[in-house]
Amino acid sequence: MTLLQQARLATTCSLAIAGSAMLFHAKSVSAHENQKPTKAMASGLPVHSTDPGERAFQEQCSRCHDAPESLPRRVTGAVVLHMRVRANLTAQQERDILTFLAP
Amino acid sequence: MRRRAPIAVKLVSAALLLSAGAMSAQYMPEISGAVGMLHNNNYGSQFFQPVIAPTIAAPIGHRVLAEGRFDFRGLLIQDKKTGPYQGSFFKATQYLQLDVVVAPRATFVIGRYLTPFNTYNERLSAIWIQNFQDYPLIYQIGTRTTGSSDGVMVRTIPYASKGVQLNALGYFSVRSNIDQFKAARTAGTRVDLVLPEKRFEVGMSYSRFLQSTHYRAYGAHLYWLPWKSPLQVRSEYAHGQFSKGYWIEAAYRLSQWKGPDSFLGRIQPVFRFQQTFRMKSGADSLPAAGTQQADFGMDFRLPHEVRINSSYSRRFTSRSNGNIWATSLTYRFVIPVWKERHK
Repeated sequence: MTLLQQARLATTCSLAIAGSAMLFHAKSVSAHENQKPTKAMASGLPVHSTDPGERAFQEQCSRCHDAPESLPRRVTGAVVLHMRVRANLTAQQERDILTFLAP
Repeated sequence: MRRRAPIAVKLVSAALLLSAGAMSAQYMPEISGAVGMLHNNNYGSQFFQPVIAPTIAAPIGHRVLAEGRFDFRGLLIQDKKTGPYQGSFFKATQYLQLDVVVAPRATFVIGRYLTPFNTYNERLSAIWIQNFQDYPLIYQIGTRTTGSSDGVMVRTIPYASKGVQLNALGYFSVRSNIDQFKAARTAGTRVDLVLPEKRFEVGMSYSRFLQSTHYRAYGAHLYWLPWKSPLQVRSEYAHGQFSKGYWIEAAYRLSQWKGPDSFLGRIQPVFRFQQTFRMKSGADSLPAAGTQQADFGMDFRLPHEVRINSSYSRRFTSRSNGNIWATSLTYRFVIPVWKERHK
């Protein structure tokens, strides 16, 4: 396979995966299990919260990225465990954020 | 002749199988990442890059995580600015690591991980996070040779209170020439001081390149995201063997007026200024002469995790000045690997 053919294949694959993923996403968004961890962003501004998980999210996670629009409940543990390592979260912060994302 | 599966595929399969055995509610393996189409016009040379960047996270219980990030991209570049497009294809294993939480404030990492020199490589380089398509000019300092390291890393939190958190990590990487796992023999450390209540962070990095010519690299970073404001300020400085430089970036999402879901609230103007200084000649992938670059960007966060980034950069060097235009369309996804077990 020539390099140009490989590049064409990559383009086709990425578009196909994008389309499939968007369809999957649209379907899963309607599912009741999806969480919408955007309470803190409802006003569009980072504000102090009394919820320890929401506060930990604002203080730790938001330094690098926004909250996802939705997150399937069953993967929240995997996501927060990943962030515990990458963002140096303490065990308490991990528990608080997990409760915030999937109460 | 029978083809053997790449080692990365075998390792991911093993992690998913182990994870399936130890699966519990909320700790299901997931595939996330992004697909995107990037376009860049660099001094008149056009190129397109279709990208698939999946990540896999497979928890094994609640204290062990096997995770990986991969990058598959095509590069379609126009020959001599006006000729036909030439294509090539690249694939990379950016990290494939096993994280073990050994204590409430300590994690041991083994495998291939993103080199934690400064923060851009670890935190901001993913295409669904980065505000500008192009990496900062100083990115190569401290992350040679591939941005990834093969070895071990220990991440700790020596002190944490409500108002102050101190993070420290150390790592050692072996030299590797294995395809998809190329890395340099390196050792390094990073210390971050975080003031969570102020949403402020400063840190310092040090790395020593331990193959061929030994040399040191130093770095520093700063993050500040004030409360009650959508302003984000990030900056890094790096000092290498041949060059040094810095970048400072400010982003301001227009979500104050009608909320983050309004048309205006989905727009985020971004500005970045970069400067590099050449101290002596040498191969470090930084510009050959002192350079200043101003980047003006506009990010649009569309519904359903679709994002459009566009930017214009003007680069000034003692040899030539030029324009860089970039546009990218990315879609972020998160998909559980297994179906939920219904009771």
